[in-house]
Amino acid sequence: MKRFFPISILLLTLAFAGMSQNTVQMGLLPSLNVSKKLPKDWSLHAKAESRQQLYRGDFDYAYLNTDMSLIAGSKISLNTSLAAGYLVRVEPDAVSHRAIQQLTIVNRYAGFRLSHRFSADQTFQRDEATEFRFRYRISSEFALQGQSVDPGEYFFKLNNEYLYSIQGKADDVEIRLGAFVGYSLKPETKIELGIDYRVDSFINSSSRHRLWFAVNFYQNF
Amino acid sequence: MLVVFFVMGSVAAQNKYEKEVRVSESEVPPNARNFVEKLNLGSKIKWYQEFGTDKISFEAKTKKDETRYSMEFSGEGLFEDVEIGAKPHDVPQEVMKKMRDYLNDTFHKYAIDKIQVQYSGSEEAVLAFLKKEPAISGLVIHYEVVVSAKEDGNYSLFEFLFDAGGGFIQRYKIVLQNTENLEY
Repeated sequence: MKRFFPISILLLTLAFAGMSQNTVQMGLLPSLNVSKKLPKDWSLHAKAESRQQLYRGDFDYAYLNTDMSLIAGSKISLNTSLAAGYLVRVEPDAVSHRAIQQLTIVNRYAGFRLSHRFSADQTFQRDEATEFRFRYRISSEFALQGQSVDPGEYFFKLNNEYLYSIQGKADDVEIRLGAFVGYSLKPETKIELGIDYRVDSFINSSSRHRLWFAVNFYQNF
Repeated sequence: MLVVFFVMGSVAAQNKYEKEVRVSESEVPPNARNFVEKLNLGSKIKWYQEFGTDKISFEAKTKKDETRYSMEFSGEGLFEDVEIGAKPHDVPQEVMKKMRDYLNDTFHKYAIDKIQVQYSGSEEAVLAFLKKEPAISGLVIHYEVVVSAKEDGNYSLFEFLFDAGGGFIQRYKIVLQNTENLEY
């Protein structure tokens, strides 16, 4: 439990880092993740994620979008899996569709797990050029009690992701940093609460900072 | 650490659940603390309490000169075994060959994830061996080998126990924790 103090400091630092920027958007980003294991190392993963703005220069509530995705994955080794799927994004005045491909490597160590995710996606929207994104994310989950995360125990998760996107003649780079405190309710159920900080548009124009307060719920069947 | 083991082979299937919780040294029975002190490893010791389906035990873990040591004791602090991390070249060649032959016969393809040499038997014999003192009879050596392999279409992690000559004793299937929150 002693580890909660530095983790809380990190979460607060991230929050204030976002607030101190000129162009900052803050809001909520809850997600529901449901997975089903299938025979022969196949699995299905469904996710619903909603985004709501609370602040943009001033308090300004706005419903932004809801993403719904379904991804099928298959292990190609004990620690490596390939997955592909489809996502639909519903916004108040538009709907976009996204194809997703990813390769994930999860390594297990004493006290923590480390994952590398390499992914690509293509977003299609009416009257707009297709957006292609190439992403790399490194994530780590640290057990806060014992050597691994057991039911009834807390954990800490840290994400760092780099995205390169290209749409028509325009391209951009986005950097994401996430810090979460999680709790394992059961072997198949986890909940995470934390901050997802994103910065983009810093190559060709003034940077855009976004800070999302996220609650992620994971259920495995 | 919650690990679920399924005992395979001719023995009727059993499930073994273990939950590992970090504890302070003062919570550990004196017998267990005394054993670790006698080893005089000189490195920081981390103590854990393990809750299994049918017993509670204590485990001391440490790392010295890049080698991992794990010492297991009963709930009353009675010595059970010492496990020391090893590389394939640390194991006698003929023993390693016999274990590899068994794994080759069992799996089409496999990878050795971890090897630990397990020292059990009498407490005095284990202490004398580890402290490089004159040998005392009663030392029992086993090899614990963790292997990743594909079986029945699924990649899994297995823990094998071999005797001092590399003869197969038993195997467990390790059920891994979900990784969805790191993948998606």
